[in-house]
This record gives sequence, C-alpha cells and structure tokens, in this order.
Amino acid sequence: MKRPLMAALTAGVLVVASACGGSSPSTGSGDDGGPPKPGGTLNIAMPSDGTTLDPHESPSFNTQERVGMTYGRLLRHKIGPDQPYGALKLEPDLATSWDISEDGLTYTFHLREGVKWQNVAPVNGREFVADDVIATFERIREKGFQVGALGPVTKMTAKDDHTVELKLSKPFAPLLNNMADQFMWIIPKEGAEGKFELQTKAIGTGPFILEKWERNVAATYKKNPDYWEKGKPYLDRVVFKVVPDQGARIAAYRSGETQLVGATTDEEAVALERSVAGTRVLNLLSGTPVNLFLNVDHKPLDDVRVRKALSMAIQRKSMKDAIFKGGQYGGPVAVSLKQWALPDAELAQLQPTNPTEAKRLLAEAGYPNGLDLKLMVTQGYGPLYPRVAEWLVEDFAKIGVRAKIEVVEYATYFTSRWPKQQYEMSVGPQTPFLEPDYWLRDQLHSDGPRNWMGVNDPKLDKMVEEQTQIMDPKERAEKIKEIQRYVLEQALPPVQVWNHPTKVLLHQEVKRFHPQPEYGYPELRETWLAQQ
Amino acid sequence: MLQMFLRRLAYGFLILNIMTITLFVVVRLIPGDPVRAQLGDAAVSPERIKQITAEFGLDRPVWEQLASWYTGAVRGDFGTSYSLGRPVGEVVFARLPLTIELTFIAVALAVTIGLLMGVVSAVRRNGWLDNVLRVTAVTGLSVPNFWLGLLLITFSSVVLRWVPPLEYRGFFTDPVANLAQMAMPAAALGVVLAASIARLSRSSMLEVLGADFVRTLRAKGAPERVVLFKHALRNSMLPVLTLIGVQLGALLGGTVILEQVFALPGLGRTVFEAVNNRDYPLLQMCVLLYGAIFIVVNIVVDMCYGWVNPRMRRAD
Repeated sequence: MKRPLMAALTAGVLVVASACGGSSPSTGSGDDGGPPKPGGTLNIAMPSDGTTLDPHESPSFNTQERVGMTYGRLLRHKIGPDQPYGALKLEPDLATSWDISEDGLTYTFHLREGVKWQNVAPVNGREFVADDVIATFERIREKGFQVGALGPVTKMTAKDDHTVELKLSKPFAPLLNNMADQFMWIIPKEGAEGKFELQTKAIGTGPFILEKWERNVAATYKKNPDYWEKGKPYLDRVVFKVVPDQGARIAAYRSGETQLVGATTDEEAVALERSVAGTRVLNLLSGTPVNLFLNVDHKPLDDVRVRKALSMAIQRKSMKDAIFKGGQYGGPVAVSLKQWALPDAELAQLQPTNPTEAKRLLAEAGYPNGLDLKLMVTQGYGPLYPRVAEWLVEDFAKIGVRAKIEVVEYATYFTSRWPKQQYEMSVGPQTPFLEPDYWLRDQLHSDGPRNWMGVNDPKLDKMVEEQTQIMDPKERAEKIKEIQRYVLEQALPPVQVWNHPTKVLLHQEVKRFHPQPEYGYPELRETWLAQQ
Repeated sequence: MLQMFLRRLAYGFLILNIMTITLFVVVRLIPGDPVRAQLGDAAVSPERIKQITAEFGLDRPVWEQLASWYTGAVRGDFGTSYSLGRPVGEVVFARLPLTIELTFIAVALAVTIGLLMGVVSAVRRNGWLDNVLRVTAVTGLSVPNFWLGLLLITFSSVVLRWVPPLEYRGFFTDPVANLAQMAMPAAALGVVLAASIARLSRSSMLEVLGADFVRTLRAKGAPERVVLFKHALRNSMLPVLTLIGVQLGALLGGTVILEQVFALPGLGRTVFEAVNNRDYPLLQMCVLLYGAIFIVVNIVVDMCYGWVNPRMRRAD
C-alpha cells in the first residue's frame, strides 16, 4: 500500500460510536442533530497529495480519496447511522437494478435514467448513458491497475442507452461487490477519449464538483446542483487541505481551520478532545491489520512449526493495552469487513499465546537453542509499526528467537524490499481492500499479484479459486471463513499481530458523518454543518 | 571588480556541474526502485515494468543517461518528472518563488535582528542588556528550526486559537494572507542565522571600536551615532557578510523541513516528494536550483565586500 498513513486514517473503520470516550457527550446517534440544514464549508486536513487524479492510474489513497466525491459507481455502499461500520451493504448508484443469469455468466445492469454529468466542459451536463460505462471498463481493461476487479469478463455491450451487459467466461462471485469497489468509479467517455485530462480534472456524476485542484495545496469541491439524489448533498463546499506535518494538522484543527482530522496517536487524540470543546472522536477499526509478513522462501520460515511458534510468542492482549489502546484480533480477511470476517472469539482461539508451547515447537523443528531472524520495518507509516517491531523482538526473545530490527527507509521498503520479497520478517500494513478475494487470492494464491511472501500451498490455491465460483453470498462467506481457518491453522503469513483502531476527530458542528471503510468520502453526501 | 565577478561565475558553474554529476550517480546508487515507486502497490506485469524502465531510460548505463541529460539540459530540457508526467522545469519554476521569498524574508529578518542585537550588545558591553542578548543568541543557536516552527504553530493555535490560512496564496494574489503564512516559517528559519550574526557582529564591532581610527574619530569630536553607524558598523560588516554566505546553505536546507511543517508548496516540499517518489529528474532539477541559489547569493555577497570595503574595489 502506497502511503497508507491514510489507510489507517480514512479507510479506517468501524465506528464504535458508543465507545467513544466519556468527555464527548454528543456521540452516538445524537450526533445527527435533527433535520439537516444545507450550506457551509467542510475543511478536511490530508497528510499528502496525489500525483494524479486519474482513477485508473494510481491505487494510492491520495488519488482515490480525491475523486470519490466527484464520480459515481454502478453500485455503492449504504451510509447512515443504521449502518454499522464495515457492513458495506450494496445499494444502487448509477445502476438501479441488475440481473445475473442462472449460470452466473451474464450480468445485466439497468442504468438510472435522467442522470446528468456535472456541468463542466467538455461534458457539459450531458445525460449519463451505457456508453460511458463501457468506455470506463474498456479503459480499465486497457490500462487500469484495477483490471482484476473485472475478473473473467470477456464481452461488454451497451444493449441500449440504459442497459449494460457483461459476459463472463466463468462465474466470478466478487464481480457484484467489485462494482461498488473504491477503485471502480465511472468516468465520462469524453475522459476515456482524451477530450479532457483525467490526470488533473475529474468530471463525474457524484454529489460534488471538483472546482479546483492545486497540487500540494488543496482540492476544492462545490455542491453539484444536478446530483441525481434530490436535495443532496447538504454542504456547499468541501475543501481538502494538504498539511503534511501532524503537529500542524493538530494546530489547524484546534484553531478551526479544519473541522476533521484523522490518524492521530492516542495521546494526541486525548489532548485534542480536551482542548476543543465538543470534539467528537470516532474510534474506527483500521481497514488493515498490523501484519507480520514472513518470507516463507527463507528457511526455516517454510516450517509450519516455526511459524506457529512465532505467532504463539506474540503477547497480543498486553500489546492491545500498551500500544494499540483497543482494537481486536486480526484475520486473514480484514475484520472490518463484517460480512466475511471470522468472529473475534474464534480468531482469539485460533491465535493463542503460549510461549512454552512455542519453545517446544521450535525444539521439535530442530531449533532447541532458538534461531536468528531479521525483522524489517519502516518509519514511513508512522511511529506505530516501529513500536510494534520493538515489542515483537522482546516477545520473540522469550522463545529463543533472536530477532534483529532492520529499519528501512520508506521508498526502499515499498519499492525494492517488500514487493521483491527481500526480507525475512517484516511488520507493516496492507491496502484496505473491500473484497475478500483481494485479501485471499491476490495476497495468498501462489500466482497472486500481491503474494510477496512466497506462499505456495496447492490446497489453499484450490480453496481460494473455489470461493470465486460460489454465487450464493452466504455459502461463499462460509467458504471464506473456512479458508481463513486453514490459513490460521497453518500459520501462513501474514501472521496477524492485531487489528488496531484509528481515530477520527470531528468538530461538534459536523453532523451525520458515518464513514464506511472505503476510500473517496462517499459519506459526505449525507453530512451537514450545524453552524455555518 | 568585473574580473572577480567573472571568476566567481566560472567557479559557480564548475560547482554546479560537479554537483549535478555527483547527485546523478549517487541517487542511482541508493536503494529503492523508481519504476515501482510510480506504480504504488499496483499489480503490474514484468513486461510493463520493463517498458516503463525503458521509457525512463533506466535500462541504459549511467554515463549514457548522464550524457542524454546534458544533451537535453543545454537545450533547456531538464527531463520529465516520473511521478507527474510533466516537464520538471515547469513543475519546479512554479515552486521556486515561494522558496526564494521564504529565504529572502528569513535572511532579511535575521540580518536586521542579528545586527541590531550585535550592535547593542557591543555598545552596552558587559551590561545586563548585553548579557540578556548574549544568552538569547546562544539559545537561538541551539534551537532546531523545525522544532521552533512546531512550537510557534502550536503556541498560536493554543493561545490565539488562530493559525495562518492553510491554503497557500501567492504574494501577488493575496499579500496579507501570504505574509501571514510566511511569518512563522521565516522566523523559525532565520533564528539560527540571526543568532550567529548577533554573536559575530558583537565581537567584530568590539574589535573595531577598540581600533585606533575610532579613538581618533572620537577625539576629533564626531558624534557617537556617526562613529557607530557610519564607521564602526560598516567596518565590522565584512565577517558578517561572509557568515551570511556560508550559513545560507544551512538555511536553504531548513526550507525543506519548514515547508513541510507549514504546508508551503515550495521547492523544499518538492525535494521531499521527489526523494520519496524516487523521481530522479525532478530531484536533479531541484538540487540544481538550490545550488544555483546558493552560488548566486554568494556571488552577491562577494560583490558586497567591494561595496563595504573600498580596499577590495581598488585591489582589482
């Protein structure tokens, strides 16, 4: 994941609204504060800016966060106080309904009629039609990094102006979820044809129009008066301000220059809560767990007993209190994806802490006197990961594993070490994917494009392929849980350290901010400001 | 005078070239893959990676890359940014005015405050004011600028409930907002220089004040104001000027971190980003400009010697 300070931040997670610190009386459903009032400007501090706005060019949150309010998708996720964080329930966006054939090989999407593109040249408020969807998907297939989301789609046809048909060579269960994925924004065909520069402009069907993008300064959005959901959005303007330094972000929040700030440490959240009256804190479960990546091509990490021993050495509960201040057990599929994750109790049971047994396993594997391993970490994701690494070294020492920390500069970490599997052990985050298929197939299949750990387990490969063929969501969820159990029993990497919470702080006038763990701030279509 | 100017210019040019070549080679030796850096964690085929590597010209030997950089540079083409896909000249020149303004304000502040402190200290030698100023100067020297910057911004947000507007505005678009944004970073940036100037100008002022010609001036009844500012100060400026030239490197380095702290989209932020993105052409251009600023200011300083010290003018 590139620059995922933010993964921690926005893709954040699970609003445990009720569990939000005693000093904020306005938490819970009461934060919605009656009927929405239109108007006002919401200022949000962001730690960095993207190099492009082209949604098909970069998977970086920097890019995707900035285009999400401008574009629409065929499907989207429900937003609101009744939606627990991570529920990610599908609902219509640009497609009002869809049919899937019995054999799962034909998807027909019926598009919303009367939707207008934002009134910005050269699209000029033209009606949204099937050709736009086709142009978008064609462009993704040609050059989009998210091409995997379309899976085995072979043929795409516009049946008429408001019907799109996708033909598949074999069933692909994740397809429907992928239509609501955080990377699957629909662009106008003028963009695909190069009539305007997608790198610096975004013209969509979403609730906000991108007025101005000054790179490394700010992105300014204004209300889209032609948005298809009548009466929304409520905000007149949204401004993303780039403030790279955390101290400066906090100062800006305190003085009211911004009304929303995320990814602060626990200590800072406490300080801000005290110093800004009425601040509301959202405790969000991170969209990515803290992973202990193991390079299984490095002996003896190929030995399940050694991997199990490492997992058993980790004092997760103590770490929860000392470092993470909350959160829950991590799973092979991020636990923020409620529908697919294993229950916390089961995750706890599958990831026991037992140094004595760990020592025994090591001895059995032929290392009665322990062994030496290197543990890579970067400071590029903030102070959390180095802190975890230091803790792990102590835990490992207790079972005789002498781990040596290797601090690697950020760009080196994510360009030449991690993706090229140049490490022994490594602590780090993953991109906060929304579909279990990404977590399992991309990361753990022997051919997976993000399998940067050398995992090669034929049984796992088979199971991971099978889940893509199960069209019934309930049945598929069972399969996905079964796969996760297997991964944990085999202690296949990444070994889960913990799924930590992140915090988002809001000024009290910000109402109806109910995020889901996805990029693009779609929740802002519902947000309003009490004082303007 | 002209000859000196030309000689300095030639040195400057030589230094820029040494810098360019060193950076060009060193940046390619540090770990980190520029192609991968542009792709983020996108799953990309090895063929595509090979294709991008060729597009960037990174598949060729370093000396060949360097030669092609020079071929472009003489025509004013400094390459295309890997991460932004636009000519680096265009990217960097948009950022340059901010950094120059920031540096200029910082130096101006430092010189004004530093000289004032130095002169007062020297005149009130060993008095309580001198002691206070000297302690202040030593403190200023010991404080890291980014820490001071953070302290300033935190102080203003806690006590005044105000921070400068976050969205950067150019001086000519909105001078009030611009100066509000520049004040704190410039102050943080200039502190070390101001402190050094204060210390140095105090001692050189004391030296001059003890010189025979000052005694003569006083003896012939020149007013103290004239003695101090027309004669003594001018004569003690020489080492101070040298100091500004030398310290400028550290000051420019400080912009990298202070622009980060104060969210200013200048050259310093660009360097920071270019390193993180392993954007070689962009980094090359930024460092070239930093070098050019340093050299130009030092030439100006050298020219000022002549203005301050007529003997140098005659030496030609």
